[in-house]
Amino acid sequence: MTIDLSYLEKMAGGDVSTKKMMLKVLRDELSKDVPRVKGLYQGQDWEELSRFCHHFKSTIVFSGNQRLIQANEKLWDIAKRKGQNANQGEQLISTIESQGRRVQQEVQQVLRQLQ
Amino acid sequence: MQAQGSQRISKDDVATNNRAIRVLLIEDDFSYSRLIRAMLQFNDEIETEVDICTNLSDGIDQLNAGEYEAILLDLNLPDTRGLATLRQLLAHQPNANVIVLTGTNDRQQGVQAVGEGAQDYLVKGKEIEEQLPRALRFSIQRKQYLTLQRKTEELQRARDIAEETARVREQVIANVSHELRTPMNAILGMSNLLAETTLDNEQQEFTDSILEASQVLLGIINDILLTSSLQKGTVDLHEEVFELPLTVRRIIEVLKPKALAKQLELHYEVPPNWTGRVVGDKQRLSQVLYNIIGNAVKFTEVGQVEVKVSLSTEAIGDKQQVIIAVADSGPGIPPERQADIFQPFVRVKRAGIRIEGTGLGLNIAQQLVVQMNGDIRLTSTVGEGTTFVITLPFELAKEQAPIAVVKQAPRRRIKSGELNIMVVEDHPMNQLVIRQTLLKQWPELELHIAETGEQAVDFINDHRFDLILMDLQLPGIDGYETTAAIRQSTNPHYHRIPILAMTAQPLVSDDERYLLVGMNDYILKPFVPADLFDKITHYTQNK
Repeated sequence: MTIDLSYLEKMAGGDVSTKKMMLKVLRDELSKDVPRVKGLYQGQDWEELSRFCHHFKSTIVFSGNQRLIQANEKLWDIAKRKGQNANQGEQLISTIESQGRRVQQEVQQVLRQLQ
Repeated sequence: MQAQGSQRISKDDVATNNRAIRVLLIEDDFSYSRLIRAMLQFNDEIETEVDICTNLSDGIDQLNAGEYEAILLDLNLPDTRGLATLRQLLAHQPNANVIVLTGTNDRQQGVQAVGEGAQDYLVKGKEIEEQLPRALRFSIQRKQYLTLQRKTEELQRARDIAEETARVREQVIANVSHELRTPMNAILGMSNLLAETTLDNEQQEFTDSILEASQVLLGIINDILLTSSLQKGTVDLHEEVFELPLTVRRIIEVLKPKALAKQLELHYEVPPNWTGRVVGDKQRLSQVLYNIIGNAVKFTEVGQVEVKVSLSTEAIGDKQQVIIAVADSGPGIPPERQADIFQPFVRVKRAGIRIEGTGLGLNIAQQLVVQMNGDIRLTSTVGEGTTFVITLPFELAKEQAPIAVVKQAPRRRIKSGELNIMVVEDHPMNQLVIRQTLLKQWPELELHIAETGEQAVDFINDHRFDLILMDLQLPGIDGYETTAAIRQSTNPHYHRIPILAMTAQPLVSDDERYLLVGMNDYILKPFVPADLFDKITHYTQNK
């Protein structure tokens, strides 16, 4: 498992139904957010990408997936610098996509176990 | 006119550092003055050097020409008589040590003379031989004592004035700085709002310049205020449980954009497997680290800045010594400047490079470290870099101790309809978390969630909220603008209800924009539920 749900569980306060709700929102948000990040990067909309990375950070912090969190941080740096030194950008998008998919799958797996 | 004569009588000295006592005898009776001189010559108690004048006018001239430890004054002289003689003399020499010589029938006049400023009086007659040396000695001692007392009082007064002047100066600086901060906040806040409007390139450039300069100036004002508080000893430390590695990481995150902009590497390292939970003043430690690491980034043009946290094997009592080393590959500090680098307003000049700042940062850092019973040192080699080593004693927190919870009043209970809170938050995960967290604690709480600032402004028209939790970054109008709009509502209820910012930015308190637009406080995300409950309790306790 690449996900670490300790923070999510802490915020759910030990309540299983809250945890399930949070996992579902996490899964759904990821499915919308990852393509949005990619689209903003490809469109070089740095201002909006910077704003969105901030938003995305609040989503993925619940996943505990460090590769995803760090890739978003680095992409955010690039966006804040308006695309300067963006040679790593493609690789970061690729990491966000692959790790995003993986988190969704793992979240789905946890949800199944909670049924 | 010259004195008529002088003589030296070699005997024990009173208090004139083995120098003969200089006595001026003002006496018109020549035979009597010779008698006095003879008496002093043959006494065993004191060594004197006596000058004689026969009238007051000559006496005053003589006093103006030289210093005398004692004056023997006959009150009845050719040019003046009675107490007027003494008064005239004292008018010219207010600090003179005068022993009045009176006739047998004028004892009362002697008493009056003492009342008017003479140190003593002697009645002319056969007893004077015995009394004269003693009277001289005592009068000189008394005069020396009084002179010393007067000088002590003058010094005390001078010191009081100097201290009062320093206090007033500090107060003026503090007041002026404080007064400057208010309009500075307005300039900063309005510039931020201006920057968010549609501007052409030139206008954007001007606005950026205003913003940058305002932030620098606000930083200077805050530094001056803190320095003033540190000098007055009015900075208190507030202990709490916190994770020291997390604090270091947050400072690194804040400074990372500046380092990246200069292509610098900014690393940090903490001991593996150390929870880092300590008891101390997190905010002041952050301030120290921000100054030291910030300086390292500011002065380093090429290379890296490395922050390393380690634990000393030495402990002080029950406290663990934590060592934080900040090493940079900057220009280094010349040896002759290293000693005074922590003094206020000291800045190391670099040829051709203008470095911003007041020179207060290191002084503030050092004073705070000392206040925390720690130590800060530096080693530096010109051309290679500088390393600051901060050593601070921390009590290690027990694992069960809660982190960063401000102790407040006991958490309130909420009955149905008693408390109505609006949360302005666009992020679905955060909405969910805050809803679950608050309703679990207070099931009877009325909770409304606005997803945008515009929606929040609409909501206040239909609801009477008791408190608002405001995310700062929102789509559309942001948390600052939303708060400003709420504060400008036509409903006066919204001019005063508590609005708490919710932000992931740890240095939001340094910005103070949130205060400018009318927010009361802030809570950091990801939030600790207990902290959130305590803040809500605190701000609604009178509800």
